Amino acid sequence: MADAEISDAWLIDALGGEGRIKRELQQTVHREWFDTFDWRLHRAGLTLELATVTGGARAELLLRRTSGEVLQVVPAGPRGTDGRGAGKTLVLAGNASLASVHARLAPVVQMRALLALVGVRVTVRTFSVLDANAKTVARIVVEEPARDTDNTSSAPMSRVTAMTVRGYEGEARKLARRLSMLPALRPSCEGWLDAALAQAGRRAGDYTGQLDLTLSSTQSAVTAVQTILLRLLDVAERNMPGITADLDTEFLHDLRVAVRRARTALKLLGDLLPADQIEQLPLDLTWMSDLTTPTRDLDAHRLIADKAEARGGPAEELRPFHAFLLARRQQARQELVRGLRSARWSRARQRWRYLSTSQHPASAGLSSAGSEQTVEDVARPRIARAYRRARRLGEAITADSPATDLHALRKRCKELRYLMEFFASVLEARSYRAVLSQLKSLQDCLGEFQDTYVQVRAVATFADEMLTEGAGSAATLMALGRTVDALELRQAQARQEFGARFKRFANKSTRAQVAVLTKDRAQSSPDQLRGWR
Amino acid sequence: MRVLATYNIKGGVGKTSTAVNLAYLSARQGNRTLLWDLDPQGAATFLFRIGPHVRGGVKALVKGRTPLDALIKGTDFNNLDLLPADLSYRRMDHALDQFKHPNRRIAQLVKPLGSGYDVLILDCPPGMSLVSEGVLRAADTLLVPLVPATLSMRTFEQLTDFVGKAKQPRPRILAFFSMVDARKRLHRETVAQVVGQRSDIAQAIVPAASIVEQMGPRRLPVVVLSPTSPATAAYEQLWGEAVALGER
Repeated sequence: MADAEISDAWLIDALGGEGRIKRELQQTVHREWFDTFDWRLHRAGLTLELATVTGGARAELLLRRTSGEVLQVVPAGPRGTDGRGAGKTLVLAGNASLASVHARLAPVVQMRALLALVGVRVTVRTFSVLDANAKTVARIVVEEPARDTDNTSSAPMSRVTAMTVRGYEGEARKLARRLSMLPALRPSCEGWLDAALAQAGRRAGDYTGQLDLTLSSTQSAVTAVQTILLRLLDVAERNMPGITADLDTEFLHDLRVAVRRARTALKLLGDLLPADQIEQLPLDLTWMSDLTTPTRDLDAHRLIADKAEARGGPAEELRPFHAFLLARRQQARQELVRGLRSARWSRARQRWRYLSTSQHPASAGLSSAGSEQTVEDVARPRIARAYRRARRLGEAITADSPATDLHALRKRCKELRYLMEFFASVLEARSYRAVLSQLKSLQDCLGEFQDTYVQVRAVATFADEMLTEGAGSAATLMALGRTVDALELRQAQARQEFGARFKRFANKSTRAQVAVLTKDRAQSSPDQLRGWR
Repeated sequence: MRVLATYNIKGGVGKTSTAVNLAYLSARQGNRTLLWDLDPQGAATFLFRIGPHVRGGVKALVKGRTPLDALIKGTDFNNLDLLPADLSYRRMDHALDQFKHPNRRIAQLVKPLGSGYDVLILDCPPGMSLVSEGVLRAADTLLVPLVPATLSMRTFEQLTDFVGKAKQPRPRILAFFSMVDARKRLHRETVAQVVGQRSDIAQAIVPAASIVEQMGPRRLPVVVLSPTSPATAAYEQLWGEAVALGER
């Protein structure tokens, strides 16, 4: 980095003269970075940048490693006409020139939208470092904040970067060493994106839907529950704008999970908080859950048509079904957005925040003996109880049990999972992973069973409605019939797998892991403590 | 990863010029492109100003002791890398012959490159050899430059016959006229007789132009040297036809 402007002549002289350093081009570029709301590219060690040369005549999409190394450069056409969708999202799918970037990023990004994070306007000068054959063996990129008309700069600082050319890594290292010895420059590892994010008061990876809480086993149980609730409120609130703008389906998913986790926290840990303060909030959270369900279900139903198309199935016949679902989703979403903007939801969040941050009376969170309960006192017995409840419920399920019994077990499993995740930081890591693995396997099976169960009924209902409204041809209805067959097959497979998966969840080995997980730490043997976090 | 190869039994028909220009055009479109200069003469390597040297030589490369990935050099252009030629490639046949299925070896070697590249272009040496057999097996599209002459057409027929009889997977063939001198009656007549009549011969016609010869001294693709020249237009058309063939 440099504090003063760097002239071409100074740089060329400093690095070996005209024969060795060749100035390539100078341009003013608007750089805009994209990532998913939950930073999937960043977590995969990537950045995606749309660089538009001033005037908007030419734009390139640059895929880089977070270290700055360019992996791919794709012409993206003039800004706003190629690759950019409505608003602040970047649409790669369906664009022939961006197809290779799309193919590369699709497994990382999945169903999430690529959102604009920050932008800077910079003047870029590029120099080539040449070998004896006049081959470029490294590049120097000098970037300075572009001067705006009011003579203010829009980017935070100036940078000189040594860029590697593949196969000539040693040359870039030598160049970086030489640059670091120049008195006008000081070394920095911070890239433009980090700097621009910092200027916008953000940092890379500043959102995750995961809880990622660090609790202490000696901490007061009341403050731990408050920490959990506050974190969940933060997740719920941060996802609301994305739902309102309908950017992608996962904003709603994260909000729903946060609300469900909060309901679990209130149900299983709410007794630690003052009873009069948690009368209304569970009702509001249930209301919000119910309000979000139709849209989420319709998103899941739409996936049926999408998956059929991806498998090369009857995409054409299912198109009217897709359109029908979209219209239904539009209605459901309007209801949802009204709910999110309602006074009831606003009051519910106020209650939620108050419950999560206020000082509670001394009587809250006391044990029967009158002493204040710690995380240690609460976490293990309640996880043990939640496991026992799920096990008992599962053991009562027979081949003739109705689907509602499996659904009830699924809900208990979710509660157990959330409870374990709340207190993950104070649980023994190895047993935690072992129990979680069996629990996840059971949940996947129960989830598949319940989802297909709901979808079979929903598709049948929608088919009836389409018939009544004259919205689908015979071919569409036949394709839906085939879809229902496929769903029923999946449902039957899930039902068949349930026994084996539950057996593993409830067997002696998992019970032993649960025992280690929920055993009082003070009474554990040194061997059991070895894997403690 | 699409694998294209420029190939002809005859030498001096424009294979390297085609490989270099098409590789550049592919990269310019945003495809991560690798050009492998398999010709020990190393003309493509020279054009990109890269040293004709492969660490460990052909033996280490063919045996897999040096992974191809470690030998790749970046060119001066975005998205375009080169696997250089090496004088030891003249012994590539011998190195391939050490394997039980020598004609499968090149396909095996290039397979891992699929994760890093969208397009691989193989610039082959002339002649019929184990190398060319391996290339026929590795490529999904064979680009065959033809100089408009009776003998060239005969050689092309021999090639299509040979490829047609080869075991699957067989590459698709796209021949095209190269070094066409519109002042020569024979060239005009030959091109007129064939182009548009056969689906395996491209509409694109690469002219014999001094700008193509300038690639040598200037060490740049024609497309960069003279973006508006007829030769550039021909290579752009040829690239479009090669892409369309791959999408069929």
